[in-house]
Amino acid sequence: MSEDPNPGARAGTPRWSLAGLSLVHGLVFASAASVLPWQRWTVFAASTAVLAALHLGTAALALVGARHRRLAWRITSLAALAYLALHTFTALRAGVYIAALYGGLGRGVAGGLAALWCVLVLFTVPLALWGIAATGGLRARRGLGIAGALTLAFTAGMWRAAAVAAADPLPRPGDDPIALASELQTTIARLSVPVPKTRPKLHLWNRDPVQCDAPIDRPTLIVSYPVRDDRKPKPSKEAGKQSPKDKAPRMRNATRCVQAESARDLLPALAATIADAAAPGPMKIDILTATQPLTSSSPGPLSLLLRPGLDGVCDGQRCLMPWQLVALGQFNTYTPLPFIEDLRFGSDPAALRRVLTRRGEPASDTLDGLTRVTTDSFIVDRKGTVVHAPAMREPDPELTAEDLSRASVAAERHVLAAQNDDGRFRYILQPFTGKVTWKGFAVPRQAGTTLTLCELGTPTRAVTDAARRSLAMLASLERPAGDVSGLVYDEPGRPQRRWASLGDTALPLIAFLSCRPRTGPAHDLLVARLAGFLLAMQRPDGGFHPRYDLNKVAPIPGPDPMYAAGQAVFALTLLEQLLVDEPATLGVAGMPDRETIRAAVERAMTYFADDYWDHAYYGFFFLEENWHCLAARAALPVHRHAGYERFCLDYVEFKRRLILDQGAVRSDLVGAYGFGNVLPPHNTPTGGFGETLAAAMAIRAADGETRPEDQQLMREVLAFLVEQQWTDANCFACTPDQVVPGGYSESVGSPDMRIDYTQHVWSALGHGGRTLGLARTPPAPPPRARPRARPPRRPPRARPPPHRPPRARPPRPPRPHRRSRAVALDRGGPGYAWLVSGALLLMVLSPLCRPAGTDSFPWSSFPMFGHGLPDARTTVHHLIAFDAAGQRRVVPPALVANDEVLQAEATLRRAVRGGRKTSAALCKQVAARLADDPAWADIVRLELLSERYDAITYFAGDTAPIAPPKTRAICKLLRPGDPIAQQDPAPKKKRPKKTRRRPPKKPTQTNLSPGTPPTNLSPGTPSTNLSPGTPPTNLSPGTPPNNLSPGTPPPRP
Amino acid sequence: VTAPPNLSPGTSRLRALLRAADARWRADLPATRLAALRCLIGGFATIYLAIRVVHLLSFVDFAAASFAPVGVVSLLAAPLPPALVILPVLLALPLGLAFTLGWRFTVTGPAFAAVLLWVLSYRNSWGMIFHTENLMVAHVIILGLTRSADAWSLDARRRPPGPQPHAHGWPVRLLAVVTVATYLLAGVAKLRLSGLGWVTSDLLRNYIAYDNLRKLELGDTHSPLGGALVARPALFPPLAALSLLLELLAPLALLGPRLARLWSLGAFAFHLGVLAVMAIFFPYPLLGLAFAPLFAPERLPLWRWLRLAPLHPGPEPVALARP
Repeated sequence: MSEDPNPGARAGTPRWSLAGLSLVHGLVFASAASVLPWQRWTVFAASTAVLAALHLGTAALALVGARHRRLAWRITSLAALAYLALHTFTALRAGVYIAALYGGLGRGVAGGLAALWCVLVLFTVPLALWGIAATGGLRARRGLGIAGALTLAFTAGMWRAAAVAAADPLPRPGDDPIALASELQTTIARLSVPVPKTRPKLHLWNRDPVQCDAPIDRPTLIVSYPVRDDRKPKPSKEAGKQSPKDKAPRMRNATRCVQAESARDLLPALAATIADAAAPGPMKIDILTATQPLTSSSPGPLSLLLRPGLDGVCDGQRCLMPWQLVALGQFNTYTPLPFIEDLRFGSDPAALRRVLTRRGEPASDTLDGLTRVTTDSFIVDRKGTVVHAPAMREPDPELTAEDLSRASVAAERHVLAAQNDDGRFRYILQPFTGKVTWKGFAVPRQAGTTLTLCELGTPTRAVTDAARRSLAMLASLERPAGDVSGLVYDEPGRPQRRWASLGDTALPLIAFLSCRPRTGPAHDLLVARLAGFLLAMQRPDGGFHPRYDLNKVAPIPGPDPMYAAGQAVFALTLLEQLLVDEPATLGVAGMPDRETIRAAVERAMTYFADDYWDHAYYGFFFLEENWHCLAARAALPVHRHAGYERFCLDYVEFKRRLILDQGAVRSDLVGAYGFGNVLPPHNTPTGGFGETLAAAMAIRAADGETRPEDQQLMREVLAFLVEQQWTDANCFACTPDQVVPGGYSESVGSPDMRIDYTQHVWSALGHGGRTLGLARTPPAPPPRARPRARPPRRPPRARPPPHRPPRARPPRPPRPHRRSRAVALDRGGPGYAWLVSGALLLMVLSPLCRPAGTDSFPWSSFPMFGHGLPDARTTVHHLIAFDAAGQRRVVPPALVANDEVLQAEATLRRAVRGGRKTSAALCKQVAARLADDPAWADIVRLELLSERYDAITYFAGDTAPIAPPKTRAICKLLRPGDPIAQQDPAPKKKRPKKTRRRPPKKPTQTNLSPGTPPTNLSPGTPSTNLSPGTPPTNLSPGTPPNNLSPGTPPPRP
Repeated sequence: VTAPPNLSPGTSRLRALLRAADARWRADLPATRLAALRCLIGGFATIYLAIRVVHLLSFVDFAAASFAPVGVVSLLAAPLPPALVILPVLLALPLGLAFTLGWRFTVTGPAFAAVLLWVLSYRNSWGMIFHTENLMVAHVIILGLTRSADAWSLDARRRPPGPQPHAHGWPVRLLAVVTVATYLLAGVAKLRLSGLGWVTSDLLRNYIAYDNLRKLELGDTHSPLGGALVARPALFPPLAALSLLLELLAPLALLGPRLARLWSLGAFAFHLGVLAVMAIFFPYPLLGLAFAPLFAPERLPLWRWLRLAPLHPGPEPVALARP
């Protein structure tokens, strides 16, 4: 049998494990130091680089087996703990600062920071603690002292960080913004500036900082307002022609810094300043309420020192107001990881400096010298009405049907105005500069906007025509491949794509089918081919391939693409509904039959309900599955699937956890989808959640279930969305060349407007409003069939909107419980499989994390042969039995311990290590066994001997020990009939007091019957366990001596 | 322009990766393969226990001072009273039989695994850790915790289970990976403890000499061949290098049937060599059971003799392609 003769005893300073672990740690820290920070020579980079160097040095020393690796490991371990303390302190200080600045971190951000910290802990603590423990540990007193000092330093640092975040208030006319709005209203009304009869082409956009006359340490406000433009107009290209707009008074924007010696004088100073106003509005007034000097050594992350929409910044007396920073995109300039360009949040100090610096002056790249200013923000609309509008949005505490209606109409107007002549919807718009970008144009977003237009648009010709133009544009993207067609959009200047994606086809098919009641059956042939495409893309298990090879006319296998898979189910569901409602469409060439579509939908729904998201963490998270909910809602009249509906409802239950609720965040963020105050919530995900929640509510309503909490949540979501919409009032600085009102920016800190931002929010407003009873379902306009290529065989009937009450609802099967979770715990489920596999593999591999040589059962490092023997000389402990003639026999393992020789060896080793008493006890125990065994009847005594051999020479024939044997114990066998042994040991002889040299070990003699002398004792050798007066042994002639002289081999058995 | 909020290619790739890993790990294998492994390994464990009953009960009268608990037995501060030593040993035998036959496997599977773990951990808790049973215990734990009685079992005969897709492949792969991992660990241990000197110096030769010497001096069977070979030092560095390579390259066995065959043959030869030169008998690998998860043991003629398998099996590959 194999064995580890000495488990754990050889665990000194490890070599290979230390080298491996240190190398891994060193490489990780080195890459972190070089990649993570966007700046060079930050504290993070420097400290991480130092730690990386220490780890790599330790690894190198361990690799070469140097003695000093122990010292290096200890230094590295202490440095790692210091590194952790430093960055924990820095992170905590930053967290406290940001929490004080923003009014809370938010659960999401706090959780993210905690997760990052845990990563840091994992890469520092285990190896460091192991290192300190393996290299001598720490003295308790010293450890307590360090802990105390750290606690004090942490406490002081946190207190300081919280104090630094507070800004110094400035004197101002009033603390109550509502009352202040009223005073401003009075001030402006006193100017008696008439409202222009024609709307002037004016916006207050100004990218330059305003210059104040005095330092920002007194009552100050910044006002942007319209003044008469007396400059000569540029010569018109078409001289002589004058548009109505040209007749409007010509105005321009003026921005002034108004300051006063006292707060009471500020509003009169404002009145004096804007006395030259050409109109009562629009105006933007920011009253500065507090200032805070910014430094590069601020405790918080530099990119988050300014709050989007709430904070402005001044460089001395040159100031940019909060709305200007937003308009300049300053909250989207910081890229924490340079290798991920699209990961942007917060404000880059260098970019901030650039917009504050005068032209021609060198720009600094630090925050030193800048001042953060907080403001009370007011907007004056074109009629002169003043509203308090923090972050450019007017808080609207109550959601009403009028609000929703107004917002929907504005969104429709915005979308209609965004359409280009070629049918495409404008892709990205910068609302302040008016810059339009088509780069990245995406077919699904075009189709999604068309879908929303058809679903929620008013029954007007303008909407229908816009839908037709968009559908025509989508139809022009058709790429036939055999009997089916996919849609492919090739960006100008790029080579033609030879594959079609599921998303580029599925969502347009939804648009074609949803718009059909408005636009007629003109695209039915295309619908049939696109449906064939989706069927071809479906996998046997019900999921969908992501791409289709147009040359090979075959799908390109791959996992379900996000979003597009749900869109495919949605499209097939709508098609199934169409085939039920209008059987005549089955006659369209290439149209799949109803049963095929139904089977495909059933297969897909079953797959997404059961297998797609079937894992042990079902209850923890989902990805983006909004479209599945919309598909499940669309299927209510025609194809209900209990599992698929449950999937949607579970998904919404998960997502609602990410909606910011009352008390956790600023009041204006309640209802948003996000992670707290710090990172501005985005409008599109919020809109997406609104759409999905509306679908989930419709599914519940179909079962007669209405949940008040859903309604309350929907109200909060819609209230947030309504507030975030660009309106005529808050669009005071928007470009007059594009229709911005009605649309949506990405977030309060990111002004760019992509068409699908508006689309998703509009969809949420429409569908969500309907579920709350605040918006009506618009009547579908009568179809106006405008056949395109070939007329359908039968004129189509108008299909009602998809959310009307079901016509013939199939009986609903009982809703299953959370099947996935049940399966996860089943021994055949994936969660169980991964749990068991992971746990067992971890246990099997766990010895790699233990010091080399330590052993356990059954999770062993298998060190049995690993030790090897550097030297062939070894000591063997064994029990030797002697008969009366002095012949020796080795006592076999079964009589020492059990049938395992190694167990016997371990028992002997333990006895020898235990000293004389333990050795004697074992000797006595074995002697008793031998006494009972007739095979050992001739044996009279036992000796426990330690003999040293050279194993190599032993097998070369020289079997003699290389050193005199050491007798650990001697004992006599007692048999029935023998004189009674003296069982009690004799009083111990006192050991000589401390001597420099340990006296040679003397054999222990036990179980000697009275009169039996100890054997082989040299004259003067003290004997133990002898009764007083026991004479020394009288050795019979021929008795082999036990204490053999060096070089005398014992006789072999 | 920032990244589209509704497009997250990174997440998608991760998801694809996870799905691919899941598909590969849980790809189906016939339920009979897992059942065959249960019968073989469970049967071996039961017979092993039966043969070793006397040995297992010998710890009843060991001195408390020798008690050095390991593994799950570390819960104990002192040896158990004799009755509590004897009871699990006796309980293990019928449980092992039930495990092998697949009777009430939902209960007896995990129960046998637990009792076996306890009994053998207790056996190793007397200052000497043996390494002949580790892999067997790990395999029994895996079999006991999975659906290994869905075929060729009394349970399946009484109530045939419904289709259990993806339930029978991953346990077989896990068994194979654990087998391979134990050899890899042994190789790593050699490097950690002795470095490359284990190959280049006389460590192995000295150890073989020492091992045989102590067996001889302790009155046990030793290997005369080992004793004779130590006189030829040039033999040992190549042997050591081969052994180390065999252990460190064990994961290659997971890459394909040919490599699995090659490695298993090598590992078998290694154990045969250990038996020859050190008189150490590793029954589990020498009977081929350690390597059985790398192959298709359900195709052994044994099952046809036992009337468990059809007489004319389909054309299934003999070796497991990819665990």
